Amino acid sequence: MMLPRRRVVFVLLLASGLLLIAVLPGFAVDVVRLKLGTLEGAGWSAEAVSVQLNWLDDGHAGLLLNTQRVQLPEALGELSGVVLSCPRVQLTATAASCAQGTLKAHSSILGRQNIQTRFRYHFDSGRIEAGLSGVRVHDGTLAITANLSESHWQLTASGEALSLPAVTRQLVAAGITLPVVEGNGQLDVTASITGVAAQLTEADVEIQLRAAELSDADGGIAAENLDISLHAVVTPGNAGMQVVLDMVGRQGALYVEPVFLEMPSPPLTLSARFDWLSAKQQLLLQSFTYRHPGSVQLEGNGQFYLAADAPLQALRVEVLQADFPSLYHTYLKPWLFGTMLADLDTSGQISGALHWEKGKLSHVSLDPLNLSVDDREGRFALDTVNGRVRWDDSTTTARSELAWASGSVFRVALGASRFSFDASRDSVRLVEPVEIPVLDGALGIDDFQLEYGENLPLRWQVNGLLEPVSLSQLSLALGWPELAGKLSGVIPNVRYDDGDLKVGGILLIRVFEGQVTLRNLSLERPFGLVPRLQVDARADNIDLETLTRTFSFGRIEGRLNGRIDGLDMESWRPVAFDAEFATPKDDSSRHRISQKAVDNISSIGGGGVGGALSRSFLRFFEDFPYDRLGIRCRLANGVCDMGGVEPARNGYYLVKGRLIPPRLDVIGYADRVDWDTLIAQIMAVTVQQEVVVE
Amino acid sequence: MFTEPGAAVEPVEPQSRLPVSESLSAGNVLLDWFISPAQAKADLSVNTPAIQQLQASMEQRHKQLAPYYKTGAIGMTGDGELDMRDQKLVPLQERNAVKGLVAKENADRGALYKEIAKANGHPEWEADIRSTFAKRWVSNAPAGWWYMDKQGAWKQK
Repeated sequence: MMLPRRRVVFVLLLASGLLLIAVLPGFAVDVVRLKLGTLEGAGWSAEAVSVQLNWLDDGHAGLLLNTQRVQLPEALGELSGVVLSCPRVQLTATAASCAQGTLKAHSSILGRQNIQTRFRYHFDSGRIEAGLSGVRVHDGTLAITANLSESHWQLTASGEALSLPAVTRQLVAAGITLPVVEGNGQLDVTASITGVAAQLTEADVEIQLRAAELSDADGGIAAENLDISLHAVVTPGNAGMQVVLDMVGRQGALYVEPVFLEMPSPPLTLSARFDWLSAKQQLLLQSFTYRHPGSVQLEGNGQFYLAADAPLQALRVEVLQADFPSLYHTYLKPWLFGTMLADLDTSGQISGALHWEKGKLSHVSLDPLNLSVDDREGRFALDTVNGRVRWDDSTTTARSELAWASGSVFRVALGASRFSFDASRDSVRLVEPVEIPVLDGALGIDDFQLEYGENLPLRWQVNGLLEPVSLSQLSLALGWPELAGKLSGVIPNVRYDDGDLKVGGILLIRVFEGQVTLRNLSLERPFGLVPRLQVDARADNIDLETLTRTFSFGRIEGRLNGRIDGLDMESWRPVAFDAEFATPKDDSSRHRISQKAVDNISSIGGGGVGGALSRSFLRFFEDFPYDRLGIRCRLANGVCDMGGVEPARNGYYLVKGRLIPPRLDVIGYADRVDWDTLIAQIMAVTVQQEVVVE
Repeated sequence: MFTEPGAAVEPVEPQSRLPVSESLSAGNVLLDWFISPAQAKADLSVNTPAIQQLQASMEQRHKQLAPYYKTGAIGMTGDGELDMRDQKLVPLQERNAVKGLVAKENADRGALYKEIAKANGHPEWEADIRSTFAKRWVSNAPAGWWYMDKQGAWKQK
């Protein structure tokens, strides 16, 4: 900046010296022409410079300066055909000044220019004041004033409606890392730059950006109807510079992959103070404040070594306030695609702090306040979560506490719960037993332990007890026919390892006046795309009357035992099992089957499974005694291998009648039955018959 | 009533109908050598509850994805997935939603290929099933949709 100035001063001195000579009595000079050849400074040179002065009258002269080519510092290109003319340079004993001059030139970057120029040169102090207006820059115009004294200098520039795409292209060409944008963004710029000798002392830049539409080449950065302003004060120091930055986003939408921001009212603001140490490629973020009204309010500081492999040396972010759902939708969701948290309804608030050190998260303290999350796919929900979560990247434990008012898992309601846990670098442990109400029962958790690590899958283990839960509530919650009974169990060892859940112990279901026990229960990816459940079940002493009443099937009296081995369900639908249900051999209860139940079994059979009922005189009976009944199905590959309570001629007995009349047998003939068809027919029967048969 | 395991795989994209008898050779030379040709065929129309569920969810999503296929914002990749081809063709406020849809679709497709391989009793065929599907998606797509060629360059059908 300053070296060129010295040359300019020299030329002006020379010109004004000549003017002085011209006005001295006895020198009747009309025209002075000087050919100065090439002038050079650091980073610039001017070729074929010539100056012509025309003496006008007392104290005035016309100035014409020509130069063929001016080579400017790299990013500024070159000027050709430069003509500086001032028709009336006023000359006094102390100064030479031009009130109205023109500078014509062709800039390799800015094109042809015709600039209004004024300047004043003070002989005694050497101070120059100059003004350029109407500089055409990227579709807009720029006005520059310069104040140059022997040691200090000041430049102010104000530009209107500069084209942002052109400006960014220019800055990128000058070696400044910026995304090149396309679109119709316009900049209004006001800059005030001061310096001493060759040293810049302060730059104060205000930029107003408006853009109807703006995008970088791949759409990773884009904006619509944007109106933002930026104020930066740059002060150079010994090793770099200090920058104070303020940004205000008033209007429009901004997309910085993957975050989409709509400017709020009151506006979004970002303030930062940082030191840039260029030699070390180090950015010291002394402080920053980010306010997105209605969404987040952050403060913090940090250090970045841009040359290092992990540039993030340290970052501390204090979350003064964060409001859901805006925080979730704007700042969290874009990072959660493909996870369980990808599609949530949220409300409430959160505050706390997050620290990173050497590229790694090192401290978390988050305090949810009335936070509610509800999975839109209906898998889980928690309502009114409060408490404090603490975690440090260290072996010492930090105590956390969480409580919620209610929740649900697969629409099964959970009641209010409160628990404390201790977390360290790679584990979480429940501090004391907790009881989570489940419908009208409860899940008691004696201990819970979770382990994780950088290259380890998530693992946890829990020991608990399921206190009786009403089946009627559970079945309604899961959208099943309403069942009467209770579910309970001791679950001494539930282990989750890398997506798979295994339940040790036995779950006991008291239902239909008998009981069902579940063993070897395991779940793969319960919240994943294709959940898979495996279990072995046994049913003992089920009361058929209660069962058939529940499913509106047509009354059957008697008891039933059974087993389902290797039940394998995917997406909550069975793909394989080996099941057998039959009247217990020693059952002494009353055995009756109603006409309606027989009809239903027959219609399910559709001529395949059953239908041995003679439609003649047996129609007069409301029900029939039976000896035994039963069914067997081995499901594999969508096909059920069928069997009954015992073999019959050409088939198998589903219901074997008593010898005493009226004798009725239901015989199945089909060995292999399509499972989906079978289920569809059973559903049709149970749905059609809404009237409960008593 | 009498069993015919597996109904036809209902194609997820309207134009991507896979013939019921569709089959492919396991693309592994060694495998071909050891297994007789009759055995080394995959039934792409195999049907299990998991496959049904994945297809239903993909079919549902397809209505949301179709406009973006048409504009060329998204396209089909060589490995049987979707990718954002030109996000500038997606309005700013929809950009993340489309990315979410693409991520979900790719998760479903990955799971579908895996489940089909598993239902065939050959989990190791997953890669071959994936590449067969990749070709099918493209060949059955309507004109104007974009796909990635072998060199990874986008092409319009």
